[in-house]
This record gives sequence, C-alpha cells and structure tokens, in this order.
Amino acid sequence: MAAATANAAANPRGFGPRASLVLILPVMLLLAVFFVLPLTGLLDQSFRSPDLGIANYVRALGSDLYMKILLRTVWLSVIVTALTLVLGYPVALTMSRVSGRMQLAIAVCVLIPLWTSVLVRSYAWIVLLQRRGIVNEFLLQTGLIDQPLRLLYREGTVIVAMTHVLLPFMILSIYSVLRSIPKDLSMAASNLGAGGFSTFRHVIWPLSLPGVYSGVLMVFIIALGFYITPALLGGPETLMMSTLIGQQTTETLDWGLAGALSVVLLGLTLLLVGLFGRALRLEGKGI
Amino acid sequence: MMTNEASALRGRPAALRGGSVRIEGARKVYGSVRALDDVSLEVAPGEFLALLGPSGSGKTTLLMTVAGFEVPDAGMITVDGRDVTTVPPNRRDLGMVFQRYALFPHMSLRDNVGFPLRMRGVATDERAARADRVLGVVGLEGYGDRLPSQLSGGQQQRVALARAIVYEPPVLLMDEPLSALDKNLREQMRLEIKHLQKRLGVTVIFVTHDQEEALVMADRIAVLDKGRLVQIGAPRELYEKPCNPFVAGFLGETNFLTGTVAGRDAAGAPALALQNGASVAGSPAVPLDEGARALLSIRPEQITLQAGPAAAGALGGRVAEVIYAGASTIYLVDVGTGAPLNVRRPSGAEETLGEGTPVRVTWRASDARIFPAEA
Amino acid sequence: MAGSGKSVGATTWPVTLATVIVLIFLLLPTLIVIPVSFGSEKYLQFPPREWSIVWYKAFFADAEWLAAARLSIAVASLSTVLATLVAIPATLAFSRGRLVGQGVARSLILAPMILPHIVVAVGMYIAFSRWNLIGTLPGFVAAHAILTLPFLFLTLTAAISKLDPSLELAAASLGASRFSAFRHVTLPLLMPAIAGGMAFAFITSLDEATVSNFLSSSASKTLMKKMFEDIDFDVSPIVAAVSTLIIVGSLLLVAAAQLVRRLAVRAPRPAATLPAARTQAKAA
Repeated sequence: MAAATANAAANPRGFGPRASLVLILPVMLLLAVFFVLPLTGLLDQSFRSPDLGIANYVRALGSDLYMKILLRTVWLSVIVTALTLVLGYPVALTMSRVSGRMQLAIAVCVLIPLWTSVLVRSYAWIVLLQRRGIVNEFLLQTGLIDQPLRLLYREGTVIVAMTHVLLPFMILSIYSVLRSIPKDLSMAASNLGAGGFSTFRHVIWPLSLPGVYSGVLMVFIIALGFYITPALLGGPETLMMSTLIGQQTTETLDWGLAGALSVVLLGLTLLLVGLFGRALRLEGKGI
Repeated sequence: MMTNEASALRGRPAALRGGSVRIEGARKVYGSVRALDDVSLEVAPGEFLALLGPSGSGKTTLLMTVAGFEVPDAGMITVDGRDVTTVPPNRRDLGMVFQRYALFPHMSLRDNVGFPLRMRGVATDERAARADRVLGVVGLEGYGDRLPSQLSGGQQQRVALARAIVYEPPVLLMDEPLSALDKNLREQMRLEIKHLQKRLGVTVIFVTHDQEEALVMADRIAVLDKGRLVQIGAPRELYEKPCNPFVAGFLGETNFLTGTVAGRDAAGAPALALQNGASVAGSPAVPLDEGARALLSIRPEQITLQAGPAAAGALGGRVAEVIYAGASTIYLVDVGTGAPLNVRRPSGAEETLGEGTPVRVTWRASDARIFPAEA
Repeated sequence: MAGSGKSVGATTWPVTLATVIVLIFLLLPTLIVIPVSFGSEKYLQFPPREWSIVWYKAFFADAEWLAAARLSIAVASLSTVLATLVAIPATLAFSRGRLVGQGVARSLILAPMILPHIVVAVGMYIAFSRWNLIGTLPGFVAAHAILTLPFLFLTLTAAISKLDPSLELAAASLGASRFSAFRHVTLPLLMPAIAGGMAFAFITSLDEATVSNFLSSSASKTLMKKMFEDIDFDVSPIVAAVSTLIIVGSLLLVAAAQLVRRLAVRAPRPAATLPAARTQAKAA
C-alpha cells in the first residue's frame, strides 16, 4: 500500500491532487446524498423524534425486552459463527489439499449457495421445515412421528439457516489463507518427524489463524445485522435486533426508537471492526 | 559481514554416523511422463553425492522418493539396509533442506530447530539447549529468539541446515538449497556446506541443476536425463570421460565436431574425418567401426592454437573473434565446419592471436572423446 | 513436481467425511427448490407426485410477478452501470493519483459492505420517505449502486494493482496523453475485471432483499420484495419456480463472467477476491 502510494507519487504521468479530487467527486457525491445523509438522518431521528433528548436511548438500553433481544442477537451470532467455523474448516482444509477436478467440484458446491439469493435459500428452509414440508412428510411416512413437528419459527431453525447462509463466507476466508501456505512447510514438518495431526497442530492451524480470524469477524458482523433469514424463519420469540428495528420502522413507525436501536447495533459493529480489524489488518488483504 | 559469513560454519559438533542409501530399479510415471526410469545407485556412508540434470530430468523426483514424499511405482529404497520404500516421510529419520528452506514462519529459530526434537519427545529444556548449540554450529549464536522473516537469505539457509542436522540424521537430503542465494554467497556456501559435511561425516544427497556446483561440492555426481541415470562417477571422471554427448555437453563447456571414423592418425590414435577434409584424433568412448558416423567432443581449454597455416589433412582455421573474459580469453575459430570452435586460453600467458590470424588447431587425442553419432 | 507428494497431500478420512457432509448440507437445501418447482400440487412436495410446469406458466401469466421481475432487472442494470461509472474514476484516483484523505474516502466507499444492511435500509427508508423516493426507480438505483459499489471498487482496485504501471509510462513515452494512455492501455486491460465486476454487481442487486424490502411500495416492488411477501403470507410454489429461474439465471451469468475472465489474457484471479468481496456486499 505504502509502496503503491509512493509509486504513484513518483509517477510523473499519475494524476495530481486536483485531478484526483475530480475523479473521486462523483462517487463521493453519490455516497454523501444517498448514504451519509440517510445515516445521519437516522442519528438525527434518534435524538429528536419525537422530542429532543436521549429518551430513545434510555428506552432502547433501559428496557429489559430490548436488552434481551440485543443479548439474543449477540448470542445467536456467536453460535452461528462458531458453527460456521467448525463446519467450514474441514471443507477449506480439504479444498486446499486436493487439486484439479476435486478442487473445482468443492469450489462449485461452495459457490453455488454463495451465488444464490439469501431469500431463496431461506425459502428453501421453509420448504424443508414447514408443517407439511419435506422433513415432516418424510418423518410421517416413515412412521417416526404421527403429528407434524413444529420446526419453523424457532431459534434452532434460525441458527441452522443462518449457518447455511454464512458458511461459504467462512470457508472461502479460511481457504484463501490455507492455499497460500507453501506446500513445502508441511513436507518439512513431515520430514522432521511430524505425523499428519502434528503437522496440522503445529504448522497448518497456526498459519491459518489469519483466515480464521477474518472469517469469524466477517460472519459475526453479518450475523449481527442479519435481517432476511430471521424475518422469514423466526417467530416472535426469536426477534433479533434487525427484525426489531424493522418492526419499529414500518409497523410501529417509532423512527426515533428505530434510530436509537440502529445506532446501538452500528456502534457494536464498528467496535468489533475497530478492535479486530486493526489486529487483522483487513486493509492490506487482497488489495 | 563477509568474514562473519565465511567463518560461520566453523563450530565443532559431534560427528554423525553417515548412513548408506541404496536405490534399486526405481520407476515413477506421471501420466505419460517417465519421471524415473529404472534408476539404480548406491551412496556410501559419509559420501557427498550430487544428482545433476536439467529440469524434468527426474533428479528431484528421485530425491523425493528417498525422502518419502513420492512412492516409486516399482523398485526399492533402502537406508542402512532397511527397506524404507513405503515408510512415511516422518518415520524415515532423514534430514532435508528444501529449496526455499521451508522454515516455519510463525516459530522462532529456536522452535524451528527444536521442532524435530519436539516430534521425538525431547524435553523442552534439552530441546532449547540443543537447538541453541546447533544454531551456534551454523554461525547463528544468539539468534534463537528471532523469527525467520528477520533473517537474510543466507542466514535462513543456515537455519534450515541446523534444523536438518539437529537430530543427527544419518543422511541429509538437499533440494537445490543454494539456488535462492545470490552468486557470491552461493559460491561461499558451497565450500562451507562441503566442509560441514566432512566434519559431521553425514551422507549427503544433493540435487542441483548447476554443473559447477556439482563439480565443486560432490564426491560423486549422478547425471540424470529424462528419468534415466546416464552416468555416475567422480567429478573428474565425468568431466574428462563423459560417456555420451549429453554428459559432455551438460557438464562444462565443449565443442562438438561431426565426421566419420577413418582409421588411425600418425600417432596411432583413432581419427575422425571431418566434412572439411581435415582429420582429427580422439579416444572413442565405445569401440567404433571404421566409416561409422561419429561425434567428437573437445573442451575449449584443451585446444591448442598456433599461428600459421595448417598442414594438409590437419585442422586449421582463422581466428574469427577474440573475447576477453578476465582470467581467460575466448577465441572463436572458424574451421570451416559450420559453428566456430570455442577455444579458451589463459589471458596474458601466451601470445595474443589477432582476429583474422590463420591458426593450426590441435589437441591431445586423449583429451577428445568420440561418440557414435546417434539419432 | 516436488509439491506433488501424495503422502503429504492425502486427506485423512474424518476430514474428508466431514467435508462431504458439510457440502451436502450446503448444496441440498439450496437446490431443493428446483424439483419442488416442477410439482403440480398447490402445496410443496418432494419429490413431486406429478411433474409439470404449471407454476412457471402461472408466473409468466401474473402481471404483478412480471412487473416485479421487470423492475428488478431495470434496477440491477441501471445501478450496475451507475456504480461502474463512478467506481472507475474513483479507482484511478486511488491507484494512480494523489488523493488527500485517502483513508477516509476508502472507508466511506467500503462502509456499505461493512455496516449492517438493516441499518442502511432503515436509514434510507426514512430519508427516501421524505424525498418521495420510496418505490421509485431512482430510489432503487441509487440504493443498489451504493450497495454494489464497495465490491466493484475492490475488484477494480485489485485488477489495477496487478497492471504494470510502466505500461502507462511506456504509452506516455510514445506520446500518449494521460487520458489516451488510460483509454488505449489501461482500460482495455481492465475490461475483463470490469465485465466480471459488473456481472457480479448485477446479481448482487438482483438478489438484494433487505434494502429492497424497505424501499418498495405496494405499487412498485422488486422481485425479492414480491417473493418476501409471498413467502410470508402463503408459500405458493410460484416462489419455487421464481427461485429456480433466479438460481439458473445467476449461475449462467456467473459462468459467462468467468468465461470472459478466462478468455482475457492476464485476467486477475477471481476465486478468492470476488466471493470475499461479494461476501460483504451481500451481507443481509
């Protein structure tokens, strides 16, 4: 990054400060009007609607219900992150070890869900889990149950579906680091007397940690603000911050409270990005 | 810096017991490529063997089968009489230095060097002590807490070496370990590694594509080409008595002349009649019939030039170009057989022959090798 | 050759088994909607008792569904073009210019992919309500352009950083002005990345549900909003048919984009950077 900047500065044919400003102007205008203004508007609402003051924050943070929802959101995000890590790591590991067609096949299996709309995938879980859905039909037919199970609108369902949606992100994040570990390191470990597990424990795992950390951060942040899946698959008892904010905005029309809750969620996210992002140096990666 | 590098490998470790390695009929096929084609060779305890060949010759594959990273399709590999053909790499107890050193980037030098000891259940304290001692042997005393990324290429090379010898393996495998270093350091490390090897008494199998490296370092050189073992022998033997044109051309510089076998010259040496009518002497690598097409190889430094026209039937020509190359001077001599002859003479030792000078071209019959011209 | 050691590359069976199970978990629920969409009954069945295409016919006969599809395609196309038009000069300013406040500008461009989409959606909803942009094409286009922007920006920055800056110097030494050096040297070399980035931006916009959900009006809704409502009220197999169409369409577009990249010389590797970028661009 620093080198590139120095390079550009030394490049006599590069764009000067004024030209650079002109080049960046359109994107900044677009963002200022349609992104920054709406977000500051939200902040503004939280302090002014209906009255000037911090009443909305007192409500948001003082209410047992809202605190419970906030904690649930964090808790679900933790579980989903842990699940994607546990399920995703072996896939990333296999992907980094095989080559050619096998690797392509795994990549396709990971990428197809990634390129399929979150809404479609959430819908797929409804198809599977609803009262007369595929799972219940199957269980009824095999005689394992005689009444359809209530599988939807439960916390577990939201967790499973969110894990499903976020898993490819974790896999790709870990894989991108695993594949950059030189092959001769595991050969060296093996030559020096390490068996398969020792090689993994002492060499592969520690070297893959940057990928694990960035995957964890990414999945956790997305999970915190996840809307579609909990909105479709969750019930009243699985209300999360995102669905609560949505409700306040379009149903209760309490924009002040929606603003305050948004600011809380935003603050939490930025805090995490600040804490981990710096440690991870997300900046330098892949750019 | 220079003196530090030069004196780096001076420490005195306990001598290791060199192991013997025996490869019998090793074959390995990848798809349609024969990486190893019936290779057999033996390495004696304490010997330094170089595996030399161009890329794709199978030298690395051969090393990998010894290390255990490749299992040959056929054949057997024994170390000290123990059949290790299918033993996994981590149970072979062989040391290895990788081309890019393969140091664990997240471990300190002490942990890197201590790693093989850790895998062998050596207690932490002893591990650290032995790692530090071996780091001292390779001239990196007091560097134990550093990370590999804080070292220069030459220093990383030394750590890789330390890590490979700390558990005192009977055999050390080296996969082009000097190829990532710059020229000066590379030439210096050649001798250092050779000296360390002699002091330790460890057996070394060393893969390289650099013929000079092989000549300088090895006790014996095995030349491979297209998966086959072409010739194995002491450096001098290979250089002076190559068994075929490939070895002659790959090991050092040489000139090739084509002609037909035409009886013997005045001194009784077999002679070769060239297209230009001249007849030259040489010693056949294999018995050759008169009239057979043949290829003569003569090294640039073994050709003698004398000013003056050549006698009828002898080889003569004109100096086409003189190239000063420091210690030696290269003369390109047009002898009328296509490509000019490349002749190397020590600079200043003899009279300078200007461009255009007619010269007589001679050499001792025993210095030139005659091979059957095949294909 | 040295790296092909089989004994090291071999995966142990528990890892392989786990991989297979996880891949099935990933793929099956994603693809289950395809066979379901070819059923004939009113409620969802797997496998369908009778194969038919009634739900596809129903989709193409329904004015509301078609209007939603048309709107989504228009939004995706226009927002992709808008995002690309502002992203290209921005990329140049970053990689070839001298920018004051580079860090802030960068964070701002990338913010839409890091901040929770629900917050962005609610903020836009409140602002757009005041500006009368709810349910309008300009509203959707602006919102989606902002959401796809970070990801286009990352793709282009990655691609341009792989270009040899001396190519532009060479062009300059041959008499090209700064603009024509860009036009004749840089831009053609960036084309595969631009094309690929646009394809992915298009799909991202098409698939975007959170912001669309809030910015749609009852009269004007995107395909995702329409699906969202249908799923919420009554799980009709038309949704399965639409899902299938979207899956197939997206995958075809991805395949086409990959093909463009592969055909182009020196194409930047997409595997790691694109999904990772999209990753966040798509954050629900």
